[in-house]
Amino acid sequence: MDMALLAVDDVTVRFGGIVALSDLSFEVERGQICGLIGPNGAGKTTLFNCVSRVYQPTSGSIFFDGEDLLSVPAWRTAAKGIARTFQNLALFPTMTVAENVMVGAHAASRQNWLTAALRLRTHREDDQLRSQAWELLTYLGLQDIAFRPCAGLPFGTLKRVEIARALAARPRLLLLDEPASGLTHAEVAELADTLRAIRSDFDLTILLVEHHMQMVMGLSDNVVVLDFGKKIADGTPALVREDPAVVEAYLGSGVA
Amino acid sequence: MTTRTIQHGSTEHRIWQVLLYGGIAAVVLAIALTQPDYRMAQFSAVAAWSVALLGMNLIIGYGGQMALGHSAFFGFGSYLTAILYADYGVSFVGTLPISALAGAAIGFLLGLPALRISGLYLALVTLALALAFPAIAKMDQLSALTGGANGKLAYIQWLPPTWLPFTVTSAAWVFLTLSAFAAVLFLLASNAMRSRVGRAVVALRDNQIGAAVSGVHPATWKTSTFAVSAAYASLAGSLMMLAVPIVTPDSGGFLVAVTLITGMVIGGAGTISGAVIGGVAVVWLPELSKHWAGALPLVSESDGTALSTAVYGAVLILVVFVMPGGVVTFVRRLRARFVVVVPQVPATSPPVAHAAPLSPTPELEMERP
Repeated sequence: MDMALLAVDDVTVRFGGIVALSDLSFEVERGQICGLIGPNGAGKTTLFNCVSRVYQPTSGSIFFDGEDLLSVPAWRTAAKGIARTFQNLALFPTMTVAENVMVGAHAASRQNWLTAALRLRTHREDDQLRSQAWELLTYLGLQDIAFRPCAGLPFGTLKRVEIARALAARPRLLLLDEPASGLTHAEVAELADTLRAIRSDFDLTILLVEHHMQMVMGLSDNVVVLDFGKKIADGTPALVREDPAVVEAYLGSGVA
Repeated sequence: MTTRTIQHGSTEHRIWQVLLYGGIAAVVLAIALTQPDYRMAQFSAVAAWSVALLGMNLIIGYGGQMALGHSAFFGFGSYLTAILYADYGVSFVGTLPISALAGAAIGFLLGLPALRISGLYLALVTLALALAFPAIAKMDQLSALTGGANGKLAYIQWLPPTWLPFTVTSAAWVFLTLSAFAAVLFLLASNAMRSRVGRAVVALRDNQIGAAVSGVHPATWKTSTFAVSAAYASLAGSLMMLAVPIVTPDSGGFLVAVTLITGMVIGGAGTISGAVIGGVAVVWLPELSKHWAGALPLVSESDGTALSTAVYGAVLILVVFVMPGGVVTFVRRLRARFVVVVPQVPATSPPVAHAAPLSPTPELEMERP
């Protein structure tokens, strides 16, 4: 059980002439919250897209729980135990909040055209999904908007709905892409508490992309810093904060 | 004015549902018992059209795939039933599963290339299907089967059975039969759309990447939606043979494709019941337009007939502007003023909430799209 849950190994992603990620390697241990930080355009979301199989890296490999992830298509990642949220949301605006969360459990349910049309044993499964969604929404404090369509709800709320949808898949690894964006200062502190609780209550490993430095540093066990697609630091928050390369990437080297 | 809140699944909700469906059944029966035969053919056509519109609604309204050429499946189903009944001695009911399966198979095959294109391109490709259908049906090589440009006749024997507790004409019996078939098909589609299946289909429409990372396999669900919707259109064509005993190459042509789109938009894309409203509109709107055009002041009777298509167009424009989202969406919005149906909260003991409930702020728009 020493093996890391997620191992990114020498991953390079090129879009035409642009190198979005260059020979990136790092590991996320089981039960960790790993922060992934870096200035805009550093390649954080690109890495997320590789792990959730939306992108195929140009070279390198990614292992999830010892299994080669790059041979797994995007739609199979949920069943494998990987769930994610999106920087700019990828919810279903015409569906209600509860239905969005129920879609999150798609991989774990079985109804098809025939059984659903004829209502063969579908009642139980749907009831189960519904109460699971309700539990998750209550857990995240979203029960008051459960039956409202997503369209028209505030951005910060929808970020939370996406977390609920991701949790509905019962993942082992949760990828969170800027969960604190669009939140007020007080809400950010609350979110940090929620994420800590989620990790222990759902037995999760979390990979977190976030610009809110205070939150990342307070929450993460380990922090990976990217700049222009390259890893420039990797270690505990205290270690990374002091790293001269990190300071330079964030503040610039204009002093010299 | 106060809005009434009814809980989904409560006794009150059940009573309203029974009243609604019982009311519809009573209307259908009343039509069968009172309407003259020439009207009955129109009502029968409504039942058949509504099934085709339901198929269109599954792929376009729910699936968001711009498959505009479903007239080809409609025409295909009519030909299949006519040929099997007239030339091969298959009973009418026996042709229905064959029509559904064949329609689904062709729909599935056409759904495969449709995975690679979407939006306007898919619209164009599928419309081409509707344009090609009459030419294919007229082909000399097929004329032994299809009857060429003259079309195919099949007078299907469909007499009211003796066990009926009331006497109806055979035209009325056709109407009752088609209504029953349509009701079953509507129930099946409604069940599917309220389940995991419907959620997957709509999720793919709303956000494909979000759906895919949630475990929805886009290819499986898109092609299967294509197949099911084609099966509905094909079945509708088969059912139509009971109401109208002839199928011609143009039965699957461009004009029928446009008729289907019109019916879907008027009824309401993405709604089950919209398909019935659409069926009514498709059958009677042209006739009513003629009537209204004749009643226009300052034009003679003959001018009125000529203007009927202009009136038809004006009615369409009016519907789109006054009732965006179709008649069903309009009625739902109206109903929401008086009565709101709220879903039942599942009976579970939720774990301790770690966060205070967020107060919903509907006035706030999303900060980002």
